[in-house]
Amino acid sequence: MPYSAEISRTNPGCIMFVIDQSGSMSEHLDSSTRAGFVSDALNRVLQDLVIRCSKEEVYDYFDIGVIGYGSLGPVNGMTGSAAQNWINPISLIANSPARVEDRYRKISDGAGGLIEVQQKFPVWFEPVSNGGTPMVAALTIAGQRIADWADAHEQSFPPILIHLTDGESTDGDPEPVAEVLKLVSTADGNALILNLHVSNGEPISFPDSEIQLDSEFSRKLFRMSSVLPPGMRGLASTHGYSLSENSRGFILNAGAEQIVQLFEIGTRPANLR
Amino acid sequence: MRSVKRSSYNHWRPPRKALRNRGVCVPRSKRRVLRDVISITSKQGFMVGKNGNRPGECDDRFVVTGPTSEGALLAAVSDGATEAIFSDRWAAALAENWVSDPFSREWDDNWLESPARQLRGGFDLSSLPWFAQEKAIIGSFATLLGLRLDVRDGSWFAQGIGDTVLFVEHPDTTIQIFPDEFWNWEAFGTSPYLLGSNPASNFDVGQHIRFVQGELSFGRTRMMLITDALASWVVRAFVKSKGLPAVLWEIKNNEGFARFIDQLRSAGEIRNDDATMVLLSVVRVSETRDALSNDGRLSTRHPKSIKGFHGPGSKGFIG
Repeated sequence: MPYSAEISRTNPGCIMFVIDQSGSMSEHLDSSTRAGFVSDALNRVLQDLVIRCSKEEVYDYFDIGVIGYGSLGPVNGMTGSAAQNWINPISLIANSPARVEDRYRKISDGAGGLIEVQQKFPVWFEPVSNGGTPMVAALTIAGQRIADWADAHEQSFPPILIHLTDGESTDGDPEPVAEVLKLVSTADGNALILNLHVSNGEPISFPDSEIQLDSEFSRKLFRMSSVLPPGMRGLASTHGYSLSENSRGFILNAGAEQIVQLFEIGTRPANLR
Repeated sequence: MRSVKRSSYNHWRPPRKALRNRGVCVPRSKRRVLRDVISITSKQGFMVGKNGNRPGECDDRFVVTGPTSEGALLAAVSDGATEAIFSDRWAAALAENWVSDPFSREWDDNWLESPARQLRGGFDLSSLPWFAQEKAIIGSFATLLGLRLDVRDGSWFAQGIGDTVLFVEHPDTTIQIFPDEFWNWEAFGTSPYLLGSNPASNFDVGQHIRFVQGELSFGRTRMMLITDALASWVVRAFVKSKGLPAVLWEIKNNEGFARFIDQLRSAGEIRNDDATMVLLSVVRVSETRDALSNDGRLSTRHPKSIKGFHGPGSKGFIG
């Protein structure tokens, strides 16, 4: 059965984030900018991944890549030693944040209330919003890297690409690139592409048909997105979504809540072993 | 108040009514039962980590101890959560604390203080890297299954939280599974409630603790405490064959257990998870005096198949 491979140190998973850093990402989202909110959400999900993979040390259950694209074209979104390669084992990510901030976060007090606690907040990915939207170039580099990764990890859960954008590509049609990317595979199935479109409109989450979408751009992103495997559909249901077998990993007009949700759903492909 | 309840557990006895009918097979007119003899004929524990882990990496722990001077044989198995930090230490703390101090009948949150203190004493939070600090604040998590058997009167009870399972094969070959929701092997697929080292994660824990008690019947009773991956296989095997797999009782050492688990994994019969199994075999017989005998000799009736007697006072062991 596809998408059932156990994630272990022998057979790690791979998650590649591709993040739009174009000028429009400076628009307002919640109390921040889109770029600011996305960088916080991405840093949080990287932190969660590190924590999930760690006991007394970090176990390399995942290889992680972050590609930003904007005025400089596609760039490696990591810093320090993790900036030397497009994809790095998560233990390297854990030990190379640009800085570790102290932040406050509300958590359950165990009796139905919330308490504010200070937590470490490592920062890897900085908010940037400048220039155009070279989506094709970014997806091409991401595709090449995950294809190489899949060749070297035949028995692993297939690679997952999470792409976030707030606008249309300025360097060509990304759909053919996405089609090729979806052909990358391991013995456990084809690569999964999840697309987040950030805007202030009414969100449409995990559609199962193009009919629900009213623009060619949104239909293109729908086609570029993979059908969600059962495990991810199950996770989506815990967020209150009721999905069909044809639901795709795509959210149109994603706001803050949807960004966090899709990051979480996309980064929990299977049980860690 | 809590210590009073604990104390009552340590001296727990089955009700008189339950003691009256023990199924003695000899007519009372001819033989007089002087006393029951309860013998532990087998007491073994095995543990193996996940395939691909480094040697010694296993988040399960078990403790078997006794019989104590009070006649109590205690066994506890704890399965630490894979994704949590210090799971092995937390599992050890829970199992060790349970065998020295089982839960009171009404759950008391204070019970967790001792294992939590034991865990905290094992590391210095400030010296951990940022990710380990965060994880340690979230806490460690584990299942816990404990069994206490009184070898003087044959009474036993078990307490459990999570998906570590007790199988009891009674002398009449009937099978008991505890907690009883695991009669359905699909129940193993859900996320069980676990005991956390952080009190904030133990909200409503008393609602999730299961309790069962019983009394040994005459003959041989076999008890198995098994963690979830292997327990799920045992339940499926039982559904197919209407009996517990005899092959488990042929395992004599940890190497044999590791080979057996490896075979099940290779055949896709169980998932790649830590596996622990504690086996206890107990025989209850009646010591009688033949009322018609001239010399009034005592006779103790043992089933012929029982070997390897280990009487009270044998040492416990920890895995």
